[in-house]
Amino acid sequence: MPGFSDCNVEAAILARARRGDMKAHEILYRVYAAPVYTLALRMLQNPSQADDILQETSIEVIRKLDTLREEKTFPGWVKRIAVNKCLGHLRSAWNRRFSGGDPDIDGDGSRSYEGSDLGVDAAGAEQQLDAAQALGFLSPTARAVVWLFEVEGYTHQEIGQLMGRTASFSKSQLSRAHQKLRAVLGSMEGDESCTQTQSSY
Amino acid sequence: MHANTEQLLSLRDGDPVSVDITAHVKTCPECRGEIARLERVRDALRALPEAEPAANLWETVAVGSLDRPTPSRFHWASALAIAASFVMGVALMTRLQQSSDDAGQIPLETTPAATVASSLPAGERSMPALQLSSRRLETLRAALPRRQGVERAATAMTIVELEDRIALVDLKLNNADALGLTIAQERILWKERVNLMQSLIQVEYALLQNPGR
Repeated sequence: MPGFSDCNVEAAILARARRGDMKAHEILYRVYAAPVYTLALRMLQNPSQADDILQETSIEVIRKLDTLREEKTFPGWVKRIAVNKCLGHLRSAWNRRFSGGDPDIDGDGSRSYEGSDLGVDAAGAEQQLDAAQALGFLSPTARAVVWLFEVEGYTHQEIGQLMGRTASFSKSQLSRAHQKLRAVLGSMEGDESCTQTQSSY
Repeated sequence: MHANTEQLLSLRDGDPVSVDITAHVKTCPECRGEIARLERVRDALRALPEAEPAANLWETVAVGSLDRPTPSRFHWASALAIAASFVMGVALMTRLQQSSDDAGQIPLETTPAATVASSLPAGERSMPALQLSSRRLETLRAALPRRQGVERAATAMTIVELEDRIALVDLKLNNADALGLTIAQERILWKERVNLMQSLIQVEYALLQNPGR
């Protein structure tokens, strides 16, 4: 997957965009649209919400581009805006209303992730799940942590800061998410070697 | 005792782990297998294909990027419109409670083809699609530059009237359960809301193009 690291743009295009040239902005948009949309889709698991994130991110890029000093930081800058939009969306009242809330953020972070629940559900589905589908079995917070750490390369320290939590919170979320992913993907693959549970360690 | 998932992840990523755990994992095929599995999951996530957004989203972004400073004055007209909406809404709620069938007869707006409407997916008229359209139109309207200067009374009244009607629709939607509205009736209200929003944005956009209008 190409991702944000391929979002490099020419200094001349950035200069034109800073002057308000909408054609240059469109060129920039064509560069970052897919990575932003992919990030949002994986984290939120909802195409229409991913559209919203892309739209909000793009508007912020257009409005705040003059604050960007060096063109080489453009990919990371756009990614940071998009990640913040996604996390803000996960915290929003609208999202809580339609997702039934997320105890990992709303509560004390002690939500139980016993693999059995999802193992049964997933096994009952009797279909092959790929990694993208398996992400849908995670809570929004756990999914965000997994994506930011495993794919986007954020550290636990950075994720903790982004979420207003600690690095330990991020580590714990990642660990529990992997247990859940093992239950989902393992049962789908019929992988007999992956049947350990946390308690057996 | 085996290493737990957090310790295995640390080992996978080269982070420090206690000597005991490190020594155990070196000699434990199960734990090494778990680390290999964690690597496979990470690799699978990284190998997921990039998703492509809708092709026509840029047009919405371009309009939405227009600057809209926060209004500094209190708008008495808006306050009066909200108050009027509330009074009319209460009256309507009372009427609807008397005859729930009336809600199904709410007339639909017939609006001219708004500029923004062209960006909406044709044929998507399910309730979720209407809700999505409504949200997008709200975003779009919020991004339009704030009107400045004097506008014609007739135009101002048109805008206030549209805002009132949207407020009324919102009032009904927010009280759908209390009013006993059916899904079909809710859908009609969402459709009406989308049509009204389109009209409102069209009027405001036209005003921006020609401030003296």
